[in-house]
Amino acid sequence: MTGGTGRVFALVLACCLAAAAGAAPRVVDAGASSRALDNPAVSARDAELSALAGGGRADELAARLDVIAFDATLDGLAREYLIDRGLHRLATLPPTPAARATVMRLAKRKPVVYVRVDPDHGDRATPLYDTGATARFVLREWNRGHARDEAAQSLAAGDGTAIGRYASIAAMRGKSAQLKGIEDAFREAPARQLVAQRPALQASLADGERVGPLALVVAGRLADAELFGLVLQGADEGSALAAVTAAAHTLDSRTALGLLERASRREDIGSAALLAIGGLAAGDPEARYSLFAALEDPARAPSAAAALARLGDPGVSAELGQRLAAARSEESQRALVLALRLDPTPAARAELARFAESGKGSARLRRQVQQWLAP
Amino acid sequence: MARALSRSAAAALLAAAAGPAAAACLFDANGEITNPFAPGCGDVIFTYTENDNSGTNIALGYPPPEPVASLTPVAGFREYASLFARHQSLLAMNDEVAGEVVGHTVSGREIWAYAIGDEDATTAEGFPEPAVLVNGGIHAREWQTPEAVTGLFETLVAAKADGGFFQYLIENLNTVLLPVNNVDGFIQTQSFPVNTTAHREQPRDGRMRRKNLRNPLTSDPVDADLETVQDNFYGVDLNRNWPQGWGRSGGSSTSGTSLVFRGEMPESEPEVLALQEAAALGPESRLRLYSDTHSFGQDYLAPRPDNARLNAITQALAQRMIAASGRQYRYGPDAVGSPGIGTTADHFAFSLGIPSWTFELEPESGGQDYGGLATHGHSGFILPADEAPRMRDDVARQYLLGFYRQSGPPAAVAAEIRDRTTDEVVYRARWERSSSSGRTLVVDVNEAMLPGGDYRLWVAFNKPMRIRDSSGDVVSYAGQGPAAAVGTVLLEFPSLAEASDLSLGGAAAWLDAPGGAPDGYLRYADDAFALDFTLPPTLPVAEATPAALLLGQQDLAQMRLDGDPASAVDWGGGAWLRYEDVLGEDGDVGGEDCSFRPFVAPAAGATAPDEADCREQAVAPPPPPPPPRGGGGGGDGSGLALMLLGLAALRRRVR
Repeated sequence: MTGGTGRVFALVLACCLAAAAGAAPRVVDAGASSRALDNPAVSARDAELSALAGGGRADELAARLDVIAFDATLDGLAREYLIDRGLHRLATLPPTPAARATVMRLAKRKPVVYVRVDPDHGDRATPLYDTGATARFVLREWNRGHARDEAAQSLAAGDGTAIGRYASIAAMRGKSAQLKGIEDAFREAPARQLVAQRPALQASLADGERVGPLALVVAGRLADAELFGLVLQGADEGSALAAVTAAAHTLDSRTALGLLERASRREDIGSAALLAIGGLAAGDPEARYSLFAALEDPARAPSAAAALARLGDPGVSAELGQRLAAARSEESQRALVLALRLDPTPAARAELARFAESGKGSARLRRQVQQWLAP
Repeated sequence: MARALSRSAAAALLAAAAGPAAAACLFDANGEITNPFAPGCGDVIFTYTENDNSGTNIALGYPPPEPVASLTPVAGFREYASLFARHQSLLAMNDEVAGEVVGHTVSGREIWAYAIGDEDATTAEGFPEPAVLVNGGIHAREWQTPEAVTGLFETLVAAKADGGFFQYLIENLNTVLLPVNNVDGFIQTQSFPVNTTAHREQPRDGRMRRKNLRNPLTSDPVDADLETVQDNFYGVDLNRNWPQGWGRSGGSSTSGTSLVFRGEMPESEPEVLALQEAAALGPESRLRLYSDTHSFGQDYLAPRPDNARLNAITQALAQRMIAASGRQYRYGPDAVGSPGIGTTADHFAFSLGIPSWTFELEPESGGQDYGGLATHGHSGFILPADEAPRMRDDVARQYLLGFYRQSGPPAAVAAEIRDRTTDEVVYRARWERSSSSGRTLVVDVNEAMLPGGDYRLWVAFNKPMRIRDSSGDVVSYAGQGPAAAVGTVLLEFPSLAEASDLSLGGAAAWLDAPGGAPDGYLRYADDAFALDFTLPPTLPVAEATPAALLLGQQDLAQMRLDGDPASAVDWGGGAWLRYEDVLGEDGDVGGEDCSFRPFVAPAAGATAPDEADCREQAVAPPPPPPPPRGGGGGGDGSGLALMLLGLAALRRRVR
């Protein structure tokens, strides 16, 4: 049977079976699900879908899904299972017009099989399969793949259209499958193609365009400190936050430290930057100095304290203890005490005990310290 | 740091799970896995991915979040160490935060609770302070909840000195938060943020662990490794280990491998005892609300003891909080008198008689709510990272309104009338605390108002009655009623014809500057309003004539005034105490205030006449709670409905 004939047949069959297969929502338990799927007919259909996917036969796979969607001989649960499985396989194939039409039809389906996943949910049941949602996911994946391919061509040609397209989409909708596709292309492109994109990316970032995710990909791929710096300073929170970890892992310690110090002054990622500096501080005295300096800044002190505490280093505890003995303001004392309190090592506890015995600090702070020191 | 599976272990596990149906867990009729340790069941490890559904991968449709190292909130979910450091920093840096270790987990980790409020145990007026208790992270995989409770903590502390709503909560309520109850379990889920075990439709350990780490065979903690199969199913469901309803058929299981294993005996688990210790920080006798924060489903699941008043209050409270959310939450009560199944909410509802519930956060349905996939029903436990900030805000908004409402109903506590021509005060009265449960009306000035005179009326309440936006405009609390209106302000002359009464509310303005009467608020921004009025020159007054100020206001959460401020409202027996209703009797819906009694005379210097009650009049019933927006569920509401129907037909006379 040719693809076209098969499709016509499938649609006719689907129409004939449609009324019979009108599925009412029902709630099943996980056991019922397993039993329903432990069925040779279901396994056979699943194997058939798998074979069609393996052969790259998107049209025929879609046609099978059209039939399954209205196949009254199948248990409703098995039907949703097969459609869900088939859709996920279809997502891995290049879309065809016929397959796209099928998926768009399936995208309108409502869940019909529910399960109670959490005994605390009362009578609330949750879709076990939501094939409509899966179909919409397939459409997004195809759009993503299309955008990836277009961007890959743009990158290969060395032009800047991918960045421009990304910026214009990001400005309008914030996030979309196309954005992810373009990011995929940047992730997969040869490094030499990314080098050619640097000037355009820098200019775009400088203009305030929302190309942070792309810049982050390029910064990571090229270990590009300058781009990392631009992302950390000016990109959206998500990109900048991801750049904190990436910069600490990708760049040499001293370069990363410089970037992270500046990032630590940015409100939304400052804490993450300080904790990342803490990661560098295990082997870099400059990073420790940086954290001690941040302790003096009320906005950064708690995160600096946490970062220092994580070192669990007696030398750090001793330095904190000396600073605590010399601290005059209640705010400074609190930050230093916090750093010692978050470090469970004996050295830190000894410094806290010394502070408690000194009689310094407010009554409340001394009470807190006594509480922490209690066995 | 996420723990990586060894390559050989991953390969072996992959081989054990050739396809989705090959995870050979068997289920009994109750949905319990009967062969947890059999090859092909307990040893299968799945990996959550964004879009790869092949083999043992499970696609979510969005990237599975990994824990983030950051003390401050981010677009994502913070690692436990960061959350803990954040809590400790809020404790260390703020006098308004107290905290202590309330217990230790099965593995010996500290469990902390925090109390947020001023240092005294009294309200600003001097009455015993109420308390609320919020638990988070009792079920390990529900990552929304430690973030949400921490977000609430951060919001309260950040705005503590706002001069209005938040400062009121700090000074008049003890808010006890236990952000992460099941510390061991939570850390276990964060150690394996993209891995889970057993079966797609009943994933168990790793990211999907629900229970604590108790090994029922040894009483020791399980080893927390996914590769060792024997203990992956063990643990006690901490929300089935409470005495109330413990072991009741259908709600829990005696099997140590069950998702709802109740434990060997009630209160066997240290995490349960820790929550009880946290309640003692209220103290327990002062608690007026308990909420156990879970995910997901967008539900307020409330036990209902055989106490119609408590149940009606709980429902009304939940519905006001639901209205404050930007999402479609619903109220889902148990059957009245149902003894529960050993949950925390069962315990607090039955033993303390306070509004209590299992608060299931978003999503409603699953990852589909955010453009993701159903993922065999379980994607709802994995909120996309970029939804976290909005979720935190939405939950905090609900909680804060609930705290405000349970802090107690509003009472009119001071009034002043000033002659605008001479700037002399002609009437000034205030309710002063006279005992632990009562106030005395102190009238400092009561001189005659004169027909044709221009006056300024100032009235203050015991709590902020309005809030403002960033522009300084009076706005509604999210989802609540109209904002700017003052409500009923009626100057009555009971001995004259009713037509002589003056309705004054229209020109009133809430006050957000300090300074007290006549132009400033009393204690908190917008706890007072002022208005100008003129007594008609034609007012038929031949002698000193009593007047009465009838006040009918609602606070931000639509609670009506305490009808009799002489007896201060408190909580007891599962209901409000001394919260006088429109009949002047104890109830739970409040009414109008008529305690301020100025007078009018034809000439200055007149002596105040005997006081007169407000006029008998038809009374509008209090506003019914809005219908649940989520549809379905929602209890029958019979208690509250009956109360409202009864009131609508009544007339009342204020003393």
